[in-house]
Amino acid sequence: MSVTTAVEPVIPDYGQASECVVNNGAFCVDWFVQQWPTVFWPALVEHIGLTLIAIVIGFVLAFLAALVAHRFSVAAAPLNGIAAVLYTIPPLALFILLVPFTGLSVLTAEIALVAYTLLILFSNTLTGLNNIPADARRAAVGMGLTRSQILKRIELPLAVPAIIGGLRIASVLTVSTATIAAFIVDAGLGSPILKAIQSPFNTQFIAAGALAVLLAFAVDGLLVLLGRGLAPWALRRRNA
Amino acid sequence: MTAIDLEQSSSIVFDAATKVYAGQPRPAVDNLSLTIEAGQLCCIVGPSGGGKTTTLLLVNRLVELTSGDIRIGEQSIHDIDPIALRRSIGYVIQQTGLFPHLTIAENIALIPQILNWDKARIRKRTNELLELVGLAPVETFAKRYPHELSGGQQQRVGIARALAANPPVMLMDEPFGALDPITRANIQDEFLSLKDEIGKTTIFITHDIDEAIKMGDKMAILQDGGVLAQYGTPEAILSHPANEFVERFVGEDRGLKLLTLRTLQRALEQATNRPVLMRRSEIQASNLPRIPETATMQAALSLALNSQSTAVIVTSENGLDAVELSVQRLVELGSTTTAPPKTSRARADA
Amino acid sequence: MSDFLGFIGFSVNNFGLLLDKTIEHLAISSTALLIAIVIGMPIGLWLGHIHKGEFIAVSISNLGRALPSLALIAILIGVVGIGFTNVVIALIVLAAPPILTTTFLGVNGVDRSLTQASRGMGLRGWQTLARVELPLALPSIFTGLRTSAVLVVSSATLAAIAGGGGLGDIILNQVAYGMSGVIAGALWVAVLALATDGLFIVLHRLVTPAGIRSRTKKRVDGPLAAPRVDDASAPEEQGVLTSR
Repeated sequence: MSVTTAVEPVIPDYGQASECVVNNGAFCVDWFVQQWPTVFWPALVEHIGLTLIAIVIGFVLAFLAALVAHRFSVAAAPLNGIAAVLYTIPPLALFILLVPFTGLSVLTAEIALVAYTLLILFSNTLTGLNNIPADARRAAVGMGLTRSQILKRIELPLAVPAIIGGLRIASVLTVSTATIAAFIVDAGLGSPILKAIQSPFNTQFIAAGALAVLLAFAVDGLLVLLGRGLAPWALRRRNA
Repeated sequence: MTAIDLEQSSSIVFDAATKVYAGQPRPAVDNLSLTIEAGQLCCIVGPSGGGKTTTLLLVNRLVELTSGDIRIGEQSIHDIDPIALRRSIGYVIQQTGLFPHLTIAENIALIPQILNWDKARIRKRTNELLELVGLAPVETFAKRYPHELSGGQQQRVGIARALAANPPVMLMDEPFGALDPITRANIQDEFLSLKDEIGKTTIFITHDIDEAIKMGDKMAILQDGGVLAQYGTPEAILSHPANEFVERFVGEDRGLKLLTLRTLQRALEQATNRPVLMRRSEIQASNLPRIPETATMQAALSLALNSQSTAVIVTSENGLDAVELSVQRLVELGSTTTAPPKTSRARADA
Repeated sequence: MSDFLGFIGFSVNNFGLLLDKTIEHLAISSTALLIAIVIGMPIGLWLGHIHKGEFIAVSISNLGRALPSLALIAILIGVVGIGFTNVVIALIVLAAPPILTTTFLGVNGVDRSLTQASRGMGLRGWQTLARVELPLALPSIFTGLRTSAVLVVSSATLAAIAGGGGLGDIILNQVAYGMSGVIAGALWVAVLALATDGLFIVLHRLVTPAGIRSRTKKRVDGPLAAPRVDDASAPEEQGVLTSR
């Protein structure tokens, strides 16, 4: 099979092309396998990196903010308001608006990605901390536990399922949103998608898109397992 | 700092204790004075809004006094750090307040852990308490989570947890109020038999007069506005209600309730002219219903009613002696052998 | 920084353009949202009414959340080509799941004693749905609508890559409009998203029946009625947020 016939400018110039590639089939396995080490694997690793950094920083910020809001309930509404506004701004707009300040950099991407995690992580953590049943709180105070003992021994453990729930949503969203970061930095799974749009080659964006979805599910699954490990009581409670 | 000696029972003294909540025109607890002797169980009973729970919460300082004082043993609760005070008071509430993320054993061990007991001691204490409240086999229950237990079992854990650090004083806020009648009666009976063994000075809140009569060494009846209407033994209150409010509150059947408090044995001992013992042949010949002398007067009357007989045969513990009591005689015993009034009347503002 | 402040000049000079693009943006968004409502709401109402399909109704939102909007639009370029249709389809796929899920949760979550009472009073199934379940589910349904509306306005920015128009046309065309134009476009779309959010917050308040407006938490009646801890995370965040 020769490649001499010019079909469309859709075929990326990647060496010898199969029939599937020539016809721009829905998904060309051979091409995907061939491109895996140079295109998809690095993009996947970058994508995991972008997501992980955003989640870790976002979690630390949101967790501290939730502790403050838990202790001083007047702070809850303003903190939630800030996080809600950040969450509502479209990602592409937020990425772009940061560019004049931090340039076309990974830093810009991370700031925006962190901003998106805050609302969910904050509100879930706070809900979790406030989640202690009224009778359990009364018993804890009545038994003579101090405020910090109640936080450490009762409220935080009880908040674990809600916190894990927040982490699950935030991670899945971040994996998805991180594709949009490709508009400002050439990194992550959004990158091959954007490149494929220049010359619509199906395999490339289907592969990248599918990897993003699979990554999201994998992260979600890992967090479910983590939750079961950290809060076995919640699982047994559900089955009871 | 443990200001109150653990493992030692102490009296609780309310001295003109008064609580007025901010923004409320009337006090929730009004000038309450009463003494609960060490090791006794005092039921605080009254209609809702009578300040029962407030009275309880004043003791562990979940609510602070407006004026007056409360002393545990010799010590005013004002002189004790609230945290230390609460750790020396067992606290049981209606909704159990068990921590859902901790196992039964961990729930019970919480305060001993915070008090830095060593592991072996905590383990020993936990097992001992689970057995005490009837949750055996201990190994099975220890590892369960609260939601895996029935309501009655949960409340047993609540009691065990309150006893964990061996506090001298227990506060129980309608502890059996959420249980179904059968479970409730069982757990009441068990708690009664356990009560003397543990010997804690206990304040027990209930809105159920029958529960108060059954459980309390003494009863304090609060009426609207947190005013003490009457304080005394159930027997004294039933036989001599201090005022119209108490009379209405204990119910028109107070005569019958009184009969639940007295065994046949005691009634016979107090009777002025004792009935003659029956001869062996008489006992054998009679087909009247029989009842042991340890049963209550109420049970004897009930038996007569149920078997449509005009008399019952009361047998002694060893089963050798017996007397015949007619219904007429039972009624006389029930109405004449009331204990002399030893009730402290409430101030006349009711 | 001058680039950043340049958006003021750009907005003044190109107000007509921005307005046109905003209208285009809203046209794409509202078309997609309306179709998503037409698809998602009846399914959610029905499944909620018969109390079936909880797993599917909830999972579909989780699935939607994991689907990157960029990948979705890109894949649709391959399937339906470039243009308005592509973008609208992509936005419907993103917007329908949250609507379906919240509608389901709202209707399914109506106190069973209420639906039983209404049936006991002789109302038919659809009458119960219309007069009892739907009114009580409206707050939940509008939570989903809000999520979907913001999501659609937000994701419509990406329409430009598939030739769908809207404010993304300005944001993604630095060559034509310069950095000032890009910033201006980004600010406009941010404001548009916040305004959409605000609009739906107001609508949410308006549709909440007065009788349940101030009710906060259900009373805990006994030891076994304590709220299940694992359920307590706000449904707004847990059930329905989806990908961009």
